[in-house]
Amino acid sequence: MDFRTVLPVGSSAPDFEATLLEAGEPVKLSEYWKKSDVLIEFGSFT
Amino acid sequence: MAREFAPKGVEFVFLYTREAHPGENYPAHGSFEQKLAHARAFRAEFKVERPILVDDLTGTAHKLYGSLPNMTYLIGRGGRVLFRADWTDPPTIEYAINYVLNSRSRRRDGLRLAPFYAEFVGYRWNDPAKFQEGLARAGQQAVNDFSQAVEKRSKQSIRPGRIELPE
Repeated sequence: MDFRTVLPVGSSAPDFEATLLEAGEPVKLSEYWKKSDVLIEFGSFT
Repeated sequence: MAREFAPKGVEFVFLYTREAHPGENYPAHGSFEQKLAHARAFRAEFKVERPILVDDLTGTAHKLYGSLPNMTYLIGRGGRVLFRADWTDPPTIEYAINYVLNSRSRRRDGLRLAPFYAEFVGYRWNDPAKFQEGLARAGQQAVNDFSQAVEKRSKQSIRPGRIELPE
């Protein structure tokens, strides 16, 4: 499975841009880890 | 938990991906606007207070991090992956974050610490009835698709990389 081989712990987290729902504006994940640790949960309604 | 850890320097965010179990009520996203609408519905239904980052329609972020439906990642300040899991379980997250915070505190006490690699088997709370409710909320198609997938999986041998342990 992809998850097992991609991104082992200790590696650099890849940056990406996503849309911040509240603001409707783009935001980069790195903006968060520049200021603090970040706990990200991935998911969807279903 | 987000509120508990915010003053300790850990920010919690949610990354909204493609629908894990699309159905008539919540189909696969045909447009980015639809994905945003689903994310808003998610925020309202589950009263999510964390920032919600909506991935683009092609799933760029989701793929970068491994494509599973409900992963957790802890990224340290500066951008290093400190913890990752193929599911999300609150007690496990709390454990992982406290491990990192405690290690830092030991270092501040003057101990020399060096990073090393570790893995562990996680255990998540599993409620099949609630899960089925969730599928029904997505639509009958989601219910049918899942039961077909279970059917198919029971005929296969153990998938490589999958953890199957006796209870």
